This record gives sequence, structure tokens and C-alpha cells, in this order.
Amino acid sequence: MNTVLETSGLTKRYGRTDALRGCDLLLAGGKVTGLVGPNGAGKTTLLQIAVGLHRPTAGRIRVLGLDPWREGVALLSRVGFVAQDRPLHPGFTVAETLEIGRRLNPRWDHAYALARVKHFGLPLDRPVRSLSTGQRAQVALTLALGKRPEVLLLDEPVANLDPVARLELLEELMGVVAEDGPSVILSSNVLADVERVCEHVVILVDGRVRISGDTDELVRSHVLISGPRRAGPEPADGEVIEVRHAERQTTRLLRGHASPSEDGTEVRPATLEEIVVGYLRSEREEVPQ
Amino acid sequence: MIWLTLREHRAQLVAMSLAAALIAIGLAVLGPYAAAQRAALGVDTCAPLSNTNENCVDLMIEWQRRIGPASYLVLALVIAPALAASYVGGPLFGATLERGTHRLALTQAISRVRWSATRIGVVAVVVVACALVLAQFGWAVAALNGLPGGPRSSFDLFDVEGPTVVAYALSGIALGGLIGAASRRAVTGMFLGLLVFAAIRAFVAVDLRPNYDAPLVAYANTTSGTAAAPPKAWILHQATVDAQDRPMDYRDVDQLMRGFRPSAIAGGPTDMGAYLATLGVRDRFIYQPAERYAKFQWIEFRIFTGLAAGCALLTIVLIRRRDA
Repeated sequence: MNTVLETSGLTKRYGRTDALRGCDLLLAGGKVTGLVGPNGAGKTTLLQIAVGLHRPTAGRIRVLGLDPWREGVALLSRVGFVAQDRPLHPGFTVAETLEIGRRLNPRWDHAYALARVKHFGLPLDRPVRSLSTGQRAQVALTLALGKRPEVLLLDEPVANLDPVARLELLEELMGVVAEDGPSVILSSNVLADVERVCEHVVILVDGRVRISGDTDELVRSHVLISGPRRAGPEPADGEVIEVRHAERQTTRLLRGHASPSEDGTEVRPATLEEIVVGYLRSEREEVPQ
Repeated sequence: MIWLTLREHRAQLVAMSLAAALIAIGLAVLGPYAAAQRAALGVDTCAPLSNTNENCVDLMIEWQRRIGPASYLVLALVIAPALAASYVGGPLFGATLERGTHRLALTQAISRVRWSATRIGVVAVVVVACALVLAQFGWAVAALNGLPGGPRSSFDLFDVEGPTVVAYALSGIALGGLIGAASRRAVTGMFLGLLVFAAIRAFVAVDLRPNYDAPLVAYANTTSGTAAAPPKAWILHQATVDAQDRPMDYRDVDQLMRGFRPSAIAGGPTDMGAYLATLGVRDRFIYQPAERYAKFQWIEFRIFTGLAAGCALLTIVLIRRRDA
């Protein structure tokens, strides 16, 4: 199994704030990985360090075995990246935007890029500023894919898109990956999207990796147990991630397995969203300690 | 990368080239026109009437009316490098850093050094081409300023012709580029760049330029006018000095002049200047001779190209080292 991204003790400090604090991560290739976490958890920082835009304060990072800061040029001919807000030159036409990719990348596949743009009905001679947000997202993605990258890094690729455009982009992404395409690492706040497309999920909290695992495995290994409110002993056959008390009912997110007990407890599989939110909340509750 | 730079700055580069072309054409047409009109009116051959020079003044006014606002072209020539510095230099890095589009370019397979150096290089080539054209029009400026025999001092056109013009334009753009890159704001680069450039230009012109070489000193009797300094010299300072070479207050000179009559009656010099000279009082001229013009131009050229190179280098280092 090849490794696309590997970090150990990765730390990034901006002034007095720590964006990443000792982030350890190992991501295998051939998958779509979702980076999730609250705003400020370090998702964007991690991706920007991975493409050599930012320099780590401490720790180590390798992408495709290369150091992004020192070996940026070699790495970036193999890595596609779409930054947050999908920066494009508003005055450039679509054709000119693709021309950037053609001129600055040794492995650029112009026929492929043109075919993609044509497929989405993007007018080549129109300036980018006249395109819709969804169309711009497609142009930005094409610019990243035209390199025929081995890894595609996307920072909030579906942010600000309407539901239809979002769905199209995600399906498109899945299609690209399916046909022997690049490994994808994307950050997102939309957990439903992550659950749909990501085979692997990394939960970042406070500049550290809280959990990293296959989506299916995560979903399979977590259950929600709800029953009448009580402060009684916690179920023993697993790690309780989070406990929520409602007026009459207590719900526990459990990593492990549980069977319904006699006193009216219900057990059901947790959705990815419930799992992620559970981890995020538990983290927050631990902070004051 | 050359293509990208040209495309990205197309508007600025085209505007700058057009402005340079317009100024050049204007000077090429209006310079000879101004000279011809001046000759036709006979402004410089005018002999004043016995009781007034009004006839000559009228000719001068008529000439100025005929060339109209053409003399503003001279002003345009002086401020063109500063404006180019602002308009092209400020956004050179400021705009892309501000908009975040540098992340687009810097995540393609291109090094930061190549990215930043190419931007600077391409723009520098266009700027130098424009400046080289504009640097050829000293003669037209002289004509528009109404200096038929060439400028009074050979240093009058120092700021608007020759190699210095190229160096000014380059350094202005490099300064704007550096400030834009450092602040990540196009507008900051434009305004601060303009201010800093103007300040450096003024400082160099006023404080450094007169001293590129030790100035020469000449003395003349107080009544002999400027004859002491050679023709077309750049006179830096002119003062009436006493025997100890100290500048004198006019009241002290007046005081001394009262002794002239008694002295002349007693058989002393019959010329006031000569009389004052016997007391050690003379006019002192501190000047740079006309022959030094070319040398000074190259010295100033080196100062500003050095400044440009320094700023460019600093910009590249900044882009290379900093988080993007």
C-alpha cells in the first residue's frame, strides 16, 4: 500500500496561534479521504503545507515521499491543488486559464482538460468572472486535474455551491477517482458529503488528529445507545465517546458494540455525522479540564 | 511564465506603453513646432524698444499661447516614471497576493524564484523599452521650455533625458513591486511606492547629485555677473563673500559700499566691483562644470539601477521565504 501523505509531529504556528500542533497522520493512496473538523482545526493549514505554500514550524511532512517546501516543483507536477475559494484570474477566459496549466506543468494533458471543459459546457472564450460559482469550481478543478496528478488536494471544494452544483461536483469527483485516477484528500464541513464520497475520514480537532479511519469501519464500530435518563454506570464493552442528556433520555456514543438491555435501551448504528459531531463535542467538553 | 506575466499585466503594460508612445509622439511633434513658432515670431531675436521691452514680452506671450498646454508634456515626462512605478509596480505582486491568485500559480510546477523573477524581468523589459524611447526627447523639452540654444545649464535636462530616465523607471517599479509584495496589497504598493520613490528621487537630486564630484569654486567681482563660472555650468550656490570666504549679509555689503566714493576720490578703483575686491569682497560661485554631465548621469544611473536590483532581489527572497 503506497503512502500519499505522511506527517509526524507537524506543527505550524502563526504568531501566537497554533494552527497545527503535533499532527501525526498516515494516508494511503487510491482513496478519497475527507478532512473534517471545526473551523480553525487546521484543515486548510495542513493542505497548504502539503502543497508547499506554507512552511511547517516543526515536524515532518512528506507527500508522495517528497518534502513540499524543499521539493515543491518536483512534487507539484504530480499534485493537483484547489485552494479555498478557488482562486482564478477573473479577467482570464476559460481557455487562458487552462493555458496557465499547460505552460506551467510538464505533464499537462491539454486534450483531457479541453474535453472536460467541453463536457461541462463551459464556454472557452468567456472570462472567468462571467461564470457561475459552480462553473468556476469546475474550471478550478479542471486546472488541477489537467496535470494528471497522482494526488488531488481540495480545500473546501463544495463550499458556496448550490445543492445541484455540489452534487454534480462530488459525483464528478467520484467518477474521476474511479477511473484509476488520483488519490483525493479533501476538506469539508459538510459531513453528509464526506460520508457520500470519502472512503477514509480524518477528524482534526485543535491542530491534532483526533481520529483517522475508514468511513465504513468508523460507522460499523460506533453505536448510539439511548435509554431512560440515568447517571448509572457506563456500558463496559467499549469506549464511551460522548454522553448527551436530554430531559428524559440519555444518549451515548460508543466505540465498540452493545446489545439492548432489559431496561428499554435502544441501540442503533451511528451515522458518520453523529460520530464526527460526537468526537468534536467530546473534545470541546474536555477542554476546561 | 512569460506568457502568464504578460497576460496578467496586459492592461497595465498596454496602458504604460500607450502613455509612453503618446508622450513621445507629442514631444516629437510639438518640440519642432514650438521651435518653429518661436523662430517665426522672432522671440529670441527681438530687440526691445528704447523705452520698454513690452514688445518682446508680447511676442513671448503669443508664443506661449500658440504652443498652448504643450509644456505640460514636459511635466508628463518628469512624472511618467513615478506613475509607472505606481501603476505597474504596485500591483506587480500586490494584486495577485491580495486576490490569492498566487496560490494558483505557485501550486503549478514552477519554483517561486522563477515565478517572481520572471514577473520582474518581463515587466522590466517593457519598462526599459518605454523609458529608452522617452529618454530621447531632451531636445524637445528644451524647445518647449523656450531654450533655443539648448538649456542654460547643461544639467537642466538631467531628470528627463538619458540613462537616468531608464534607471528611474526601473527603480520605481522595483520599489512598488517590493512594497506591494511586502504588504500584499496592490493599493499600498501603488501609493507607498509612489511616495517612497518620490522621496528617494528628491533626496538624490537635492542632496546627493550636487556632490557626485567635488564642486568647483570661482570668484568674480560683484559687478561682473555670472561670468566667473564657465558657460552652461550647473551653479549650485552663489553668494557674496568676504575676505575670509564667509557669505556676507547684504547690510554688511551696503556698509562697505559707503566707502567707495571717498576711496575713488582718493584715487582708488573707479569701479564698485573692483573696489569691493580690494576689500576681499567678491561673488563666489560653487558649480559643477558642464563636462561632468555624462559622468553624473552614469553615477545616478548606477544608484537607481542598484536600488532597482536591490528591491528586486529582496522581493524574490521575500516571495521565496514567506508563507504564500
